[in-house]
Amino acid sequence: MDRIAILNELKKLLAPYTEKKEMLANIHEDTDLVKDLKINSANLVDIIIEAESKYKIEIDFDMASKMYTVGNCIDVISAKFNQPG
Amino acid sequence: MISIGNDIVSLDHPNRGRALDERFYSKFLSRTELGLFPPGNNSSLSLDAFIWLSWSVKEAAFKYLKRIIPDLIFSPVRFILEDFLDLGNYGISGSKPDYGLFRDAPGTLFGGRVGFDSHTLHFKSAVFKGWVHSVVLGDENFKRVVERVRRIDNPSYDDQAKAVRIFSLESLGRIFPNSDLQIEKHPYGYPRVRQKDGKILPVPVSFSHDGSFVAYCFRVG
Repeated sequence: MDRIAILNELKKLLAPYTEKKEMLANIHEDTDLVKDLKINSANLVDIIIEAESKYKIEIDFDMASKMYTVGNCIDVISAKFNQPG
Repeated sequence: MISIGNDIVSLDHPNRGRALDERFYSKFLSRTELGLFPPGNNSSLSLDAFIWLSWSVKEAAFKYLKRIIPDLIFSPVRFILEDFLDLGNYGISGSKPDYGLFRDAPGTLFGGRVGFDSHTLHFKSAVFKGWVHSVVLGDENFKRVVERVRRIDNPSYDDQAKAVRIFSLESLGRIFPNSDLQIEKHPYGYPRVRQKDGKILPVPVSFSHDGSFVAYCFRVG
């Protein structure tokens, strides 16, 4: 799965957690989930769990703490998704 | 540097029901921290309220340290609850917290310590029906802390952000009259208060909001 495909999937996953729909429509790799999309930090864990379910991956503590921009999220999902075996 | 941090969690938010899902709480609470529950044999605290209280303590501790460590990134698992006490209806350092509109509502206070690397911070938390609120300091002197929780009608992000600034300025204005105070955001992201003479008020403030609740705190003296 390439980065653009993951970004497009991320838009759907983030949609229920942000009121900034215009910003969401134009997200890019530097978009900050808290500062730009105004996502409540308590919802970040929900987003991580949904990403785990969607991609059938497990995101550990250290990885989760790096998911504060869209680009970071794509890095983590892509690394896990493309992990062999 | 003097600092303060706070966080509020609305327990009525649709996603808050996930608290008891192990996949959820295991992302930020270790087994050792979970072992701090319940805080005493007679505590009425529920497990889901404990989980959200723990979250709010860690978030408030992050806000406290963000002033001291500007490039800090919130990683809740690195903030470790060290102890956790049920303080009853009123209490830490003899202070009686005033939750404004909620002062007559039944609620319980909790307190303890939270660690981050070499830092040991102190927290005071309140659990009321519908919300959990925590304040974090670098010491145990909560007597000089003004903290308030208010309910607002419109829970949109912009309204939350606007309301918490208005409420905090009302409160600060009573303590510092004729100062024509204004809230601004420090480049590192935390709020600070500027006086009409252009100087920054040496009073650390912290804002939080979630759902229909907004909260602020500041430390005077």
